[in-house]
Amino acid sequence: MMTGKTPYGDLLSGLFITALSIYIVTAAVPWGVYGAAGPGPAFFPLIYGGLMLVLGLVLLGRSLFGRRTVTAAGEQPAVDPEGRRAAMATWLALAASIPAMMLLGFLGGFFLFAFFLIKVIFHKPLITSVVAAVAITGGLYLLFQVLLDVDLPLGMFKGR
Amino acid sequence: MDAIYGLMHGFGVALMPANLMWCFVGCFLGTIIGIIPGLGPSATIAILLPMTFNMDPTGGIIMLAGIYYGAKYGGSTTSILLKMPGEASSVISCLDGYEMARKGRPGPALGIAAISSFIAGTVGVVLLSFLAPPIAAFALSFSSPEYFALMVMGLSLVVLLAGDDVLKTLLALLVGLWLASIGTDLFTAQARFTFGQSALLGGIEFMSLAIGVFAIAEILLSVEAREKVEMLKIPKGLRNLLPSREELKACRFAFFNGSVTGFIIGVLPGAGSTIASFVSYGIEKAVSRHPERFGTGVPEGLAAPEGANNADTGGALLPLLTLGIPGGSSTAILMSALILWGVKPGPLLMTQQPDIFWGLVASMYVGNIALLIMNLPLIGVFTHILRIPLYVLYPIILGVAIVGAYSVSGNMVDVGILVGFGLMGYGMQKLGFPTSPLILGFVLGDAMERALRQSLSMSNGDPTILVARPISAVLFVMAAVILLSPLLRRAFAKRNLAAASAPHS
Amino acid sequence: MNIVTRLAAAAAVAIGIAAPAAAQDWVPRKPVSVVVHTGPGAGSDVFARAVINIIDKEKLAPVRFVVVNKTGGGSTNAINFTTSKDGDDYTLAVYASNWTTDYLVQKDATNSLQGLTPIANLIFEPALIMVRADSPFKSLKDFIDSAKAAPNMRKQAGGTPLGRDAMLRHVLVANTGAQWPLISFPGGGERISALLGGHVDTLVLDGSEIGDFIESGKLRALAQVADKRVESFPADVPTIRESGYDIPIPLQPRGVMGPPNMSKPAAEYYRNLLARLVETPSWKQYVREARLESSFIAAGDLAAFLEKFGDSTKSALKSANIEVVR
Repeated sequence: MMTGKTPYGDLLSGLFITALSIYIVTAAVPWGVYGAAGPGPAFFPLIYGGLMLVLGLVLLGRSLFGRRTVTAAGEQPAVDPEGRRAAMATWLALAASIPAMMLLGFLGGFFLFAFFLIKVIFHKPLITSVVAAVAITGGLYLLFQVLLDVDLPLGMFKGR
Repeated sequence: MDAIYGLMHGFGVALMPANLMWCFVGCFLGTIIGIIPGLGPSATIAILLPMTFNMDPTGGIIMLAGIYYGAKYGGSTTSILLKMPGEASSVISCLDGYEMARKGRPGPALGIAAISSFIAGTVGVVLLSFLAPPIAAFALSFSSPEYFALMVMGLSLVVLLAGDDVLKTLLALLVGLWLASIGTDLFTAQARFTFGQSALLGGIEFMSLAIGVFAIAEILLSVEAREKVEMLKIPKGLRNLLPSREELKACRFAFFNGSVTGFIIGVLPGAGSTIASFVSYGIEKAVSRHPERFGTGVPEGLAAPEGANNADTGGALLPLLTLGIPGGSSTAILMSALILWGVKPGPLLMTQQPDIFWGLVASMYVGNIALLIMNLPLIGVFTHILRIPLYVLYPIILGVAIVGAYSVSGNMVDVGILVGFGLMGYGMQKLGFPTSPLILGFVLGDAMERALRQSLSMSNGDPTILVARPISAVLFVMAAVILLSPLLRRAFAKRNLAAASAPHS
Repeated sequence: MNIVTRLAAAAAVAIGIAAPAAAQDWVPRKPVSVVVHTGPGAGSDVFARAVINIIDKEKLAPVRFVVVNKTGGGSTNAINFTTSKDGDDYTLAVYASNWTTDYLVQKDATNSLQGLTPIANLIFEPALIMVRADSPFKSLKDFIDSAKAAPNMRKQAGGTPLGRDAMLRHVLVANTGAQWPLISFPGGGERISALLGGHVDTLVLDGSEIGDFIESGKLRALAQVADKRVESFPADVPTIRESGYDIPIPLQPRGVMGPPNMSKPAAEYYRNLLARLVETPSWKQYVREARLESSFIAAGDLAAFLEKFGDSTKSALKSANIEVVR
């Protein structure tokens, strides 16, 4: 199901996983591996952390010295830089909606996010974008805050 | 024969007009509310519990049980249509259910989920009616070492969930285990991997992980692919709303597997329906003649976990009704409701209050039929969700995900975690890491660690306790068979291919 | 979980809950949230729902009360949430013994129970030390002697290491010199089935969990975890003290707190409400059936009680060699 399998990606994930496993092991050790009542909090993390370290190093080694995954040139999935940019922009907007909601409340923050998504990512006309973003934000507010009485994120100025 | 007499008495109770109505009302409400992602069976029961306070105990418990298994029917809808799991035990249904929908067969996918739920739900009730006492005894012989063996068997299924890169599969699994141990340690109250965030003390919400890694990542991938991937073309006509004969035929074993696996795992107080759904999926893949097609939208890959999820209901009610032991949060709420009515679930219930025990059991036969009849016409309605244009649908999905994550604790940190998992799921796909082993590791990790540490405490550190008991020995053998099944298959395939072909990674 | 409880409220409205308002200075005008630290179906959640159910049934309040489950970190997330509702008259919290313990042990817990506005304690939950009906142990002394003779060979099933059952083990171990481990199980059901299946030797069962395990001949009680014999417990079972162990009995109190700086009239209103609650026949029936002990301690007395309770918990933790961070 995968595209863009480059040794560079493997190298990066190998480095990340090795670092993560070192963090797991070093964080866990002080918690106690084995006590009078049986295995301690570090017991299990050391097992999977150790395994992760070994396998992470294998992945690293494979990406550096292993045989390259042979893919025929034609099969090489074309990386679509524009598409990738769109995906990253979507994610960044989603991440940015968190501080936006903390500042402006749910209505303001989510409206901005929905508007950005529809206008910039989906290239819809301005009017459509505003109408759709307002309708979606309002609909969610109506469903959760009004109908189900679920508290939505509250802004700095005590507005939802 | 007591059971047949009891069941006849039970049908007398369940078919009384008032009780029949409560059964229908419960099933209907359960299905409708269970559809909302994040609202699983236990949440749905808790929501509707106050409605039953003023009812008589028999009608009340019949309705609550209807809500319980009704919500399980509803849970698969968004998994199939949007790759947004409706509840924890429908997470694995995303794999083949969503792929079926993408291939233009959302109606048949929903139909298979409903039919499989009906068959397995009914088998679960039959087993509950006739085999309750011996199965209750079996459940009690199951202790920590057996749970550990069960979890090992579950993890061995990861080989079957593997993509073509075993190394990356195992790494995804290990990261899943790590995520599961974030939070407060049950045994010592030690905070683990919380980075000083009190929001992490309670651990990571499974639904945040699943929705982030599946639904949000799916949206990012789809945004990236743009118009190139035409999502979800739905052919018109009744024939395309219901599963075809071939699809149902492919599910024959899945119906059986889902029913039995779901029921047996449902009986165990320490396992639950999520684990049941994963295990039945793995078993289905292990015995399949074409395991490589799993994850691309094969109907049996949806039928097995959906069946297991519903057979679990009968299983989970068994220890509650015969021993007074609630196995999970849904049954715990049912138990608290019974106690509020002055009914004590336990060994004496069946003989002292047969109206309640047998009335409830009989109502579940009726309820499963009602749910099947109710759900098939709804398929046509639900598939219309997919006609909503993406630029409207995606903000709605993301909004529901944000609200769901926020409402759990009223803390924006949880929304941040959800969004982070979205990026992680996307990144894993891009880097060639399969995501389902991560989910599997998360689901099993907690229970596995617990069982391991409990076992070693019980044996004062002697590891032979893990394998020396008969049930756990059997489970370990099964794990070995599962582990070896693809290797054997691959060995055969290689021999057939001969040495001429290029090496695969 | 929030969605859940809010929806529950909506459903409650649908079936119609109305009550006459009493003539008072302050009366709630919108639904009141009740924060609990467990998920639906577990101890505090069941207790909170029972209390609300009785308030509804006896028509004691003009508004709805809605359970809000804030799970995570034992009680820590629930306390944090309640503290964040500073000055709010429409939030209450139901505490249990671990609301004191978690703060003493968890470094990441930053808000204490003492920081909240005391409303009233409602019950103490007594418990029984249980074994399987076919167990060789006929008395608590049998068990403790056996655990002394074979250290770490007898096992107790429990919940969290800071729960009341775990505290009782700590105190007994510290005072008798016997030694046995507590094996943690997250759910009540797993704990009980571990005992029923014979995988552990004993456990402590709260009054509300006892059900008909004794009547049906599955389990047998060794001792009552209470200062004096509890009426609803089997009459022939001695208390721990009567069994020959003069130890402080760890309590399981449950009651209601408000957020910091709750307005005085509002706090007074809730105290009054709960004072009327514990006099109703429904409450008395509930307390009897769930085998609880009603114990109404309000306001300033409650603050003093919690102070004392915190100190005794602290010394119990220290005697058990558990690191106390405050």
